[in-house]
Amino acid sequence: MITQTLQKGLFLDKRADTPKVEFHPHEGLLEISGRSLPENAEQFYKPILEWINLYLPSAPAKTSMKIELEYFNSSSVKQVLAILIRLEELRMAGKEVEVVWSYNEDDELMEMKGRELESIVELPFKLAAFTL
Amino acid sequence: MCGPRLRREEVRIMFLQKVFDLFHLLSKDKMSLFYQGVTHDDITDKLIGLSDENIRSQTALSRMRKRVSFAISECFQNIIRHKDIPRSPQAEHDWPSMFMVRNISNAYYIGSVNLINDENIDKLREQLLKLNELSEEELRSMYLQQLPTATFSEKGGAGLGLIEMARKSRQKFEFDFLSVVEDMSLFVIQQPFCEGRQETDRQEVTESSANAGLMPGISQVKDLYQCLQQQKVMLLYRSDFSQDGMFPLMDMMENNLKAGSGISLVSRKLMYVLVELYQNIVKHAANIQGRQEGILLVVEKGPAYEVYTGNFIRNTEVEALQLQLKTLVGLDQTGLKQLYREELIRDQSTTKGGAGLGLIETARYCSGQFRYEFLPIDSDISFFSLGIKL
Repeated sequence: MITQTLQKGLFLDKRADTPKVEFHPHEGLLEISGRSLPENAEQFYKPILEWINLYLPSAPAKTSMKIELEYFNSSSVKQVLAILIRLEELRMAGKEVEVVWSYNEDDELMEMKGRELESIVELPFKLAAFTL
Repeated sequence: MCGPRLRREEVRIMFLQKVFDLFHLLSKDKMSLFYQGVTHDDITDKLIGLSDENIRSQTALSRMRKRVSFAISECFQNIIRHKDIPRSPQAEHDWPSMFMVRNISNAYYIGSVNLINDENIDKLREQLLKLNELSEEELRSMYLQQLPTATFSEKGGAGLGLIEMARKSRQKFEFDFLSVVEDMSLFVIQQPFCEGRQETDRQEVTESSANAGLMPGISQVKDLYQCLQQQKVMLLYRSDFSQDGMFPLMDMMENNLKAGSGISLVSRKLMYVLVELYQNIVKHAANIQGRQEGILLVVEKGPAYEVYTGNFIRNTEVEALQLQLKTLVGLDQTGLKQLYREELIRDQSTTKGGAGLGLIETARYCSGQFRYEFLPIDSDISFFSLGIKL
């Protein structure tokens, strides 16, 4: 199910407790959306982080990381931060990185979580509210 | 002892000590759910989802799945269609409807409590007594007889639903009426569903299992209703806590919030807290004979909520948890935020799935009150209960 090679990208279907993952390496478009409530977040995000490690050396000039979560548990936040910390390395290497934190406009908590992560990492954050 | 954030008057409101009492009272239950929230059609599926999850984990019950799903749906629909609405909104608020489903041993007990007009009592009582007297064959012919005319009866076929319940259950209804407000009473009903009974046993079974003390009588339904109604418990869930059991529970709560006051900031916080505390039980409760027993309660008080959880933990883990909780209770929002950031940034492989983080987040969502208790059970385990206010 997990296509581990970098070239093919990384695609995971949305499940009851894990988000949809769509990583297009050539376009530099990485997207995570849905619920992130796995019992073991470390285990779920391990292949995702491994893929990103492979991606970093050959990333295109611009990477856009879109995160659109509906629900998350605290251990997932830690893993999302781990992704962002890796993308910081990309920025330090002189490449352009943008984080789009997309949230339902009524969801104050999700907005707050975006701001919180923005304050921790050195990456340009775009907080994008959407209307249902 | 409990830190500067805790005010004295708040301590009295919390009913932390009751968490263990309720857990203990339901100690024979493999799964139990008591629900006093919004009764809405959309919630029926979620209730069935919860019982399905319980049935799936026990092969002995698999043959009952359809019957139980039917009964849950029928009983819940009965509340929606047949409760009478009191003239005073206060009475409606004071005497909420309750739906319950319990799995004890190889039997399911499905029941409800709702207000009805006193003028309807006699007819209903007569109907139920009559159904209790009939054999399975007689029930069948009564069902077939009523089927063509059912659509014309008041409120959409009351009788038919009850006949079907009686047929599927093969046991007698237990019921009672309690006068609570002028012109209105609470109608309390409970129906057992067992695996593999013969139709000729219909009456005997009920008596023998009641004698054996296995069956929770109707008085227990009344007592539990009273307790939950007084404490404003919208939801009580007691079960073996598993990751898969969390989704129907979450969906149910979400539906309840949407159908009620709508999704507000506090109700979102409630959902997050439920996830964290539920998963804390999944990850950290002592596993006893392959089960991670826990209890979760949601109390609704106006716009505020209280969440309580209880579960066993190994005595060897008590000290570390106690220390962590003591730290959290002593911190204000700024301190909690700081601690959260530190924990978030800290090396990834430190904790079992970020346990500390979950409790810190919970404390951050909490508005003032964060209480906990450890009750020693034996040399190996203690009962840990937690209560927070949102």
